Amino acid sequence: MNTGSSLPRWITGLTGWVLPVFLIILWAVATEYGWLSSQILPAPTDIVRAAINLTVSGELAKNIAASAERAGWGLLIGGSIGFLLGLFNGLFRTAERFLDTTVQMIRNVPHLALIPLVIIWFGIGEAGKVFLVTLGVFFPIYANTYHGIKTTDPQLIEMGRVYGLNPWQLFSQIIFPGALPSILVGLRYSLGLMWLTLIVAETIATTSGIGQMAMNAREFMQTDVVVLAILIYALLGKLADTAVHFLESRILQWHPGFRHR
Amino acid sequence: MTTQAFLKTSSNLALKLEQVSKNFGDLTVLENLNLDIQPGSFVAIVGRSGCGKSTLLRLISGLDQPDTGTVFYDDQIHKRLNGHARVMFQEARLLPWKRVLDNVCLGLCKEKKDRALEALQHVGLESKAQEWPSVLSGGQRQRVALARALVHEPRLLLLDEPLGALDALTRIEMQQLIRKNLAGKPDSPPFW
Repeated sequence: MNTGSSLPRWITGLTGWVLPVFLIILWAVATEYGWLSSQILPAPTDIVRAAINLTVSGELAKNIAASAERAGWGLLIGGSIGFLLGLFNGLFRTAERFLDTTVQMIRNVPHLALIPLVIIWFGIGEAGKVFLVTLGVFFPIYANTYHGIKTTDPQLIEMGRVYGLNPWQLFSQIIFPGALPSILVGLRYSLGLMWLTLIVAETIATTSGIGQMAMNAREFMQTDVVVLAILIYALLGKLADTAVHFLESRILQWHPGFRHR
Repeated sequence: MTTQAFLKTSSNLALKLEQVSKNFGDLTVLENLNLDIQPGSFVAIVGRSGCGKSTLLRLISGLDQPDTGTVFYDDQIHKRLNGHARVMFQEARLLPWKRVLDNVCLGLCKEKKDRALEALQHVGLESKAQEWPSVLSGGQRQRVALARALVHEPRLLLLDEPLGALDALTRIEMQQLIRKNLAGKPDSPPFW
C-alpha cells in the first residue's frame, strides 16, 4: 500500500491538476499557432473573456444559481427517498421482498426516454427537471445504502446482542456506522449522476440555468460560451466530489483506508 | 491441538445443565450432558478443536438452544439471552468506529466510563484508551475485549477459546491476564 510521499500535503494535493493545466497550455498554444481553428475550439483566452463578460453582467451567477437549485432539490428528494428505502429494505426482509423488484424496474428506464412523458405530466416548468434529477440521484444512494446494511458483520451484531444492546442501539451503534462507508460511496455516485441528469433535464425548454445558457449560445454560434458551460459542469462535478471526500475524511476517520496520518 | 475455553460464575450464580444434547444434522456434538457448577467457580474447559466447547458455551449463554435438556441459572430455566451472561469470543469483535475506551464501556458508557478506564488498566492498555481499534495488534485487541467483558461484571462470563487466534507468546501473557483478573491469585483479587 502506498504510504504517502515525504512532500508537504499541499504539493501532493496539486498533482491532480498537473494534467488539466498541461492540456490547457497545449490547447492555448494550438489555437495561437492556428493548428486549431477557432471555429472548432475557441482559444482559452476567449473562454476566459466570455466568463468575465457573463460574470459582470450577472448572468453567470444567475444561471449557476438556477441550475444549482434544481440539482439541490433533486438531490434532497431523491437522496432522502433512496436512503430511507435502502435502510428499510436492508433492515426488513419483508420490505425487500415487496419493494426491491419495483425499484430495479424503475432504475432501468433511461432518462431520455422519459422526457416526453415528463413534459406531459409536469409541463415545462421546474417540477419536471427536479423530477428527472430525483430519479437519477435515487438509485445509487438506494443500492449502496441497501448494500451497506446487508453486509453488516453478523459477528458484531451477535456481540452486540450478548452485551445487552437493544434493537435501536444495535442499529445506531453497529449497523448504521458499519454501513456508512457504502452510503458515502452511493452519495458520491449520486452527485456525479446529479449533474449528468441536470444537463439532460435542462434541455427541456428552460428560461434559466447553465443548460439554457449553452443552448442560447448554440443558437448564436457562441462556441466560447458553449465550452464555458461544459467547463462549469466539470468544475461543479469536481467540487461536489471534493465535498464528499472531505465528508469521508471526517466521518470515516476510524477506517485505515481513509486516514491521512 | 487442544484449545481452552473458560467459564466463570460470580458469587451469586449457580449453573446447572441437565441432560443437555445438541445435534447439527447427523452429527451429535453434545449428548446428555450434566453439569453442576458452584457459585464463584472458575472453570477451564480443555479439549480438541471441534469437540464441542464453543457449542457448550453458546448453549449456556443462550445464543443457541439445546435440542434436549435444560440449562438452569440458580434453579431458573434459562433459554434466551437475558443479560446475565457475557461472552468473550475467539475474535476480539471490537467496533472499528469506536475508540478503545468507548468499546470497553459498550452499552454502559453513560454510567461506567471510569470503570472502563480501570478495566483497561487491569489489562495494561490504559495508554491506548483514545486509539482506534485498527491500530492495535491482535493480542491487544483481545485484551481490550477482556476489559470489556470485565466492566459488565456479569454473573456468568464465558470465554470461547479467547486464545485461539493468538501466537504462542501472546497466548501465555493472555492466559496470565485471564487468571489474574478472573481466578484471582492470592496477591491480586479478581476484578469483581
